[in-house]
Amino acid sequence: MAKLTFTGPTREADAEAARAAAELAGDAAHVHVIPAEKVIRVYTGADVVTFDPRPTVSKWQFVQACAAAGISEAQLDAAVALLTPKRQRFWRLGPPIDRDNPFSSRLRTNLTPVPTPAAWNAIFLAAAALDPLTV
Amino acid sequence: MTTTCTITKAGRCDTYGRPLLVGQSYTSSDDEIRSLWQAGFCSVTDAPTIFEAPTYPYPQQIAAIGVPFCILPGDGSTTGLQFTGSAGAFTLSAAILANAWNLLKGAWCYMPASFGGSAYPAGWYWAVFSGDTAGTLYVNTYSSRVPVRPASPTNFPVNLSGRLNQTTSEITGPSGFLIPGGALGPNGAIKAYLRTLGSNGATNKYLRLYLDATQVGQIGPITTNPNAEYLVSIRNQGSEALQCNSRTSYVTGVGSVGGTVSGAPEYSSVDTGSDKSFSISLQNNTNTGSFILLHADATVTYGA
Repeated sequence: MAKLTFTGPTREADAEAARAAAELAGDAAHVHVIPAEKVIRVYTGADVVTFDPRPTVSKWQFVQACAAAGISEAQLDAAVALLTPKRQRFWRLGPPIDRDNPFSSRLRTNLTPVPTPAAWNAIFLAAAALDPLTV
Repeated sequence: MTTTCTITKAGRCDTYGRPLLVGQSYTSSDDEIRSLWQAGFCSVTDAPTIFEAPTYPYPQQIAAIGVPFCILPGDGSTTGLQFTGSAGAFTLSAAILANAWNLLKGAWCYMPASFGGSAYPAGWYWAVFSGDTAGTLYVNTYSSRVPVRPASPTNFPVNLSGRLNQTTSEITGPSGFLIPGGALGPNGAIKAYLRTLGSNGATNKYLRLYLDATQVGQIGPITTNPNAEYLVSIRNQGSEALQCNSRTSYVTGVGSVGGTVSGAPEYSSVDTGSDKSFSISLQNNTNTGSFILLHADATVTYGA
C-alpha cells in the first residue's frame, strides 16, 4: 500500500507504471490527476479510498436485479410470505427498498438459499444501475 | 455577539439604567459597545478593526462554476472522440445524450497527453460543440480558480488526428477556490449544488469534493440517468476540525439515506480554522462513456 506522488515531465508514465505494478501484484489502485498542480497521485492497496454504497432502489429495480441474479419472483414471494403482515403490506405497496432496512435484511434471510451479504449488496448495486424510468 | 470595552468617560448607563463608571470593564452587545465607542465613552481593544471584522450571517459564495467540465469518451479504437485532421475539429461516434450539445456550446474538456497525435500536454482544453456529434477543440486551457469562457478561442496550429484514448483516472476539475480560515466557524456548513450530464450507461461516474487533499464529499457511482442535480453538504460539528458530511449521493440528488455509516467521506477532520482550497474532481471509470459537470455552486454558511 502506498500514496505516491508523481511530478515532472514523466509523471504520467511513472504514475501509469505504478498503477500497473500495483494491479499486477493484485492490489487495488486509484489514480488522481491534478492538472493545476502538475501532480498525479497514485493510491494503492489499503490506501485506496473505498466506499460501501448502499443504494435505495425501487421495487421494480430490486425484483429485476434479483431475477438477473437467479432469484425468481416465486422465491421472493415465498420469502415475503414469511414476513409480518406489516412487512407484507410494505412489500405489496411497492416501496423504495433500502439495503439496510430491517425489511430487506429479513427478506434476505427468508430466501432459500440465503444470499450472502456480499451477494445481497451486489443485487442492490445492480438494481441501482437499472433505469427506473425506462423498461 | 458581544464585545468588551473599558469605560473612559462618565455619562452613560447600562441597559438597567445603572451608570457606567470610568475604568469599568463593560461587556454588552456589539451594537451597544460600538455606539459607546463611537460617542467617545469607552475604549475597545483592536477598535476599529473589531467593529469592521467580517461576519458571516449569510451564505458566502465559495465558487460559482458556470462553464462545463467534460470527460469526453474515447477508447482509442472504435468508440468516442475522433479528431478529423482539421485543426481541433472532432466528431463523436454517438451523441452523449440526444440534444446534449445544446448544453455544451463551450466547455473545458480533459485531454490526456499527446492527444490527437500532438505533443500537447494533458489538461483541460476549451471546446465548442456544434452538434450532438461534432465540435472543435481549441488551444486555450484551464488551470485553476474561476473558469471563464475564452473571449476569442485560439485554433490549434496543427491538425489533430486519430482517436482519443481517454483516461479513466480521477481528474481534478475546477480548483483553487479559497475558503478563508474560520469562514465556517465551529458550526457552519459548506453546501454544494451540482448539475451533471453524461452518457446514459453502466459506466461508473463520480464527482468528488475536496478541501485541500481531503475528500469531503462523493456523488456516485452514477450509471444511468446522469442528467441530474445534487445537493450535498460538509458540516462542522461544534468544532472547526470535525465534519459530518453528506452520505454518498446518487441519482437523484441529495445525500442518500441508509442504516449504516459507510465511512469517509461521511465524516472528516479537516481544520477549517485555516485557509483551505475547495476543488471538485470528475472520474469516469470506462473510457467509452462521458461525464460532465455542468454547473457547481458552493457556499459557506457561518455558524458561531
